[in-house]
Amino acid sequence: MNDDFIALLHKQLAGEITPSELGQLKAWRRQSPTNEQAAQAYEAVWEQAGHYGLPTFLESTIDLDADFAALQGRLGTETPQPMAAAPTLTVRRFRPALQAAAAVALLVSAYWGWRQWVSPQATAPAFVERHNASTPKQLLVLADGSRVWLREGAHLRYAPDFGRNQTRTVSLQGEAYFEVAHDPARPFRVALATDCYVEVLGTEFGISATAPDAPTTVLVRSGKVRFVPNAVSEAAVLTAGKKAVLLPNEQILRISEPSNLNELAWQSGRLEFFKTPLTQALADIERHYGVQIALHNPALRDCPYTAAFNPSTVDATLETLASVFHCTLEKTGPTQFRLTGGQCERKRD
Amino acid sequence: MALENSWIEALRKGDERALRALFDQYYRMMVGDAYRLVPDLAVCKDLAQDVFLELWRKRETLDIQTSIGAYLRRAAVNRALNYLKSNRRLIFEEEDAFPQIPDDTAQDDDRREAQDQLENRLHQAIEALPEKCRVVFILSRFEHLSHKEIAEQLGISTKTIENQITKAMKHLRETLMPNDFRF
Repeated sequence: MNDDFIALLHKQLAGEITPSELGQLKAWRRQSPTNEQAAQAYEAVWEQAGHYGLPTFLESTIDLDADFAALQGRLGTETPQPMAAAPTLTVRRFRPALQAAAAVALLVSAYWGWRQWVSPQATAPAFVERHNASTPKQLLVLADGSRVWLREGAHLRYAPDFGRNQTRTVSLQGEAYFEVAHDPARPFRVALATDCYVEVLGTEFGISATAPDAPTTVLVRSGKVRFVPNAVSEAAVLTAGKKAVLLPNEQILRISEPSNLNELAWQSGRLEFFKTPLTQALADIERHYGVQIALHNPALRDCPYTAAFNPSTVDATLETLASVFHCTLEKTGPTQFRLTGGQCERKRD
Repeated sequence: MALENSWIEALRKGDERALRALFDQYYRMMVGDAYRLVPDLAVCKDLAQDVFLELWRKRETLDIQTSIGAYLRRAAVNRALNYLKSNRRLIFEEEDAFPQIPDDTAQDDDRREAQDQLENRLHQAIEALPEKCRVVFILSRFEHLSHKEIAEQLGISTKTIENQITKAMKHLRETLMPNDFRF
């Protein structure tokens, strides 16, 4: 390929091309199938290069607490007095709190129950209700420093200062991810419906409670939570990597240990696979991006797939997957893809 | 945005929690941005921490025109570029040879195990580019700088930028898509 056209193509990809240059490039692409093919190859190179960055295995070694402590060491004597406006949260208390912070994903289904249960108090001025109507995720920082990401469609209701109660309580409908500031004196509770709640014993987690007949799911990324399904059934304590599902009309929690945390991908933007059977990896990609993928070669169904994707596009994700298995990827509709041919990866010698 | 503004307000008042919140939100990204230019994790962590140190020292007079995230990430990239310049790596010399890629079949087994294949291939391909070529390509691909801005940053001509990008694209196509390469 003529170097001048590589330069033009790059200008187009980088958004720097002028209209007359674009005309030249288009004419050149139309000149022959070889030119068009070369142009597509360079487009793919540009796309693929977009995944370059800190390798996953190194990123996972970054310890925010340790590195922030190193930074604090360098801040030295400059550390000021805590703000007068937040007298109860001094810097001294704050640091151990963050070290112990943890995350949980919660998906909750008690939609109508939540409505009826919350609305009588909804006009009380002491409460605020946040509704994420339009973005994939919305971050809220609560008064205690806890962070909550609301997935699209989720509602969170809480007293901004937690009403000086012994327990920090928020009410959730929809799907949310929590990083809770640890405070042993004031438990953090996510109320899901009457008598149904998740209490944080210091953790990060996600909850999903989306529709009346959908299951309520709690997935713990780190730390520990207690899931109280209702007034009569036994509560369960969940630790990191554990998932609990409460089906509607059932009293018992089903607890499992998923092989990855891709259900949290909406919050982290991150999909990861480790020797995951291809059909399952495709199901995760379908759910994450809201697409349908047809796999035409049955020989690939159980091929193990290992990859990690930082926030990306479905096109790039599938192109990578297709290149690993030497499949042909076609886009058959706005959200439909087809994978044909291909073979399992050869083992490394 | 409103939330970030409240962090900046708190930072101005000397609230270390705001620094920590920004650190939690952006530190990994900043290390990642710097790493593309300086593939050395320890150095990149230092560079990113330097940015926060500077942010803290200047907190009372902060004047950020863009979003705080864009500001911090760009600051990390600038520090990585300065690091390359001050360490007199080969960036501004007219070297054109591709460095030899060490044959790592026997070594780095752990690294290989831990890393997925795509990442591995992409890293080898990009890190095999001569430094100037790599830096120009990274600035164009990830920092969305125009030819002119890159030329100003690095003190080289826009024509050189174009040549280096073309060289990078050809090399990456050869190594990432060997079967397809016909030219």
